[in-house]
Amino acid sequence: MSAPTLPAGHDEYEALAVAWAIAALEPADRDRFGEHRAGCGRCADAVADALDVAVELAYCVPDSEPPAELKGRLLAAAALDRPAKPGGALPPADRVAALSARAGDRTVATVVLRGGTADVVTDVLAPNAGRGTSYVLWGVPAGGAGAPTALGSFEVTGGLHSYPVRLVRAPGGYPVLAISEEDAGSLPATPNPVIARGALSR
Amino acid sequence: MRSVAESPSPPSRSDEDAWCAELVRRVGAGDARALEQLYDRYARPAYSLARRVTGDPAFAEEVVQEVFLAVWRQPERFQPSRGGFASWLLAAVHHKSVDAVRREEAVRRRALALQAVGGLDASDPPTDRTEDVVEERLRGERVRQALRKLPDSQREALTLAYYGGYTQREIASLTRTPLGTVKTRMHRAMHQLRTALDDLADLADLTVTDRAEGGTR
Repeated sequence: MSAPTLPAGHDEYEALAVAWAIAALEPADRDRFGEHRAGCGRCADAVADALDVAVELAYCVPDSEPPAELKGRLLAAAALDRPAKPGGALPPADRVAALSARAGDRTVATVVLRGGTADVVTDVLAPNAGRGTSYVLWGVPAGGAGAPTALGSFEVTGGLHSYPVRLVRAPGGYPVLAISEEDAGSLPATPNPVIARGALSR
Repeated sequence: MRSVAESPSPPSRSDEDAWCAELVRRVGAGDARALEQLYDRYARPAYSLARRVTGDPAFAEEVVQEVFLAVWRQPERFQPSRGGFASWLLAAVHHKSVDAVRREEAVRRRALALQAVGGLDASDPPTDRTEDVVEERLRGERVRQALRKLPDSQREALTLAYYGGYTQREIASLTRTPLGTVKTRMHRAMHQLRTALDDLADLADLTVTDRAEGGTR
């Protein structure tokens, strides 16, 4: 099998392909090679070949478990910036709040406001079916002036999902949102202990 | 024991590429559940790699989130015809980790790189026993064996680049070696690593075949 004729200097690109695959190129070489590779099937294949070897190096590092809340953060971020696609995907969220038990703790739930709707994305809140309860979303006024207001309720069935809130009041006017668990079907004047709270993005 | 994800796991390496290509296609159609399945399968090796290269849990989280978000935003950047998803994803994680490290000061990187080279001889203690993790650990052991077969100078060039995040020029100055020599060493190291991995894979196949055929040929 004879090698196809290559433009002069192409051998150099093949060497660059190997170095590119292990991220060892100088920034200038990296840019130069990136431009070349986009239009060169042979180099794209050379990179793919080298990556097959490089990936093995990725598997010989100490094993670390990613923190559990990373997944929730990723999915909330994905929900936030879904590019609008024709034919179906949801529009991007307007505002979002990451709720945690205490400031700096792991996120318990992310509230996503989109149009006139609110959804709670969580894989931490326990399923409430069978406990005779509903979760209630609260709006907390600025600076602790006045009592929280019940905005609506939602049910959690388990697993990471986006759970719709049955809104009775618009949540947009509150700087902070909170969640509590209440008797099923009730929207009390004051909440049971708040499970998680967090500031609403602008 | 960690529960097995509700999603069907890829049944074997040979089917894994097709499984991933389908999930990436669904991501392109806006299916967040498909993104979640890819995350469940690859977050662990991705995070482990980012953590090793950056040496910092917060940087590692940032890198992993950025890379999976890029899959969500531009799934078309992965081309199944150009190789497997794992290779592509982990290359993205590696490049971003190296970029993060290069923004950090040189002293810290140097310490990390030396630690990475030293750590290659030891197998890490098991922390989890799911099938994926066990398989990945075996895979890691195979790579360590292959790396040990390389001449020291080649192994040094490769590990300083891959785990330390050093460019070829930096490695040349660090090891007081001409740049051309570093380039050659790196190129040979990758070539020999491939050969060694192929040999080890053949050996494993042979052992399985021998057992299946009762040792007769």
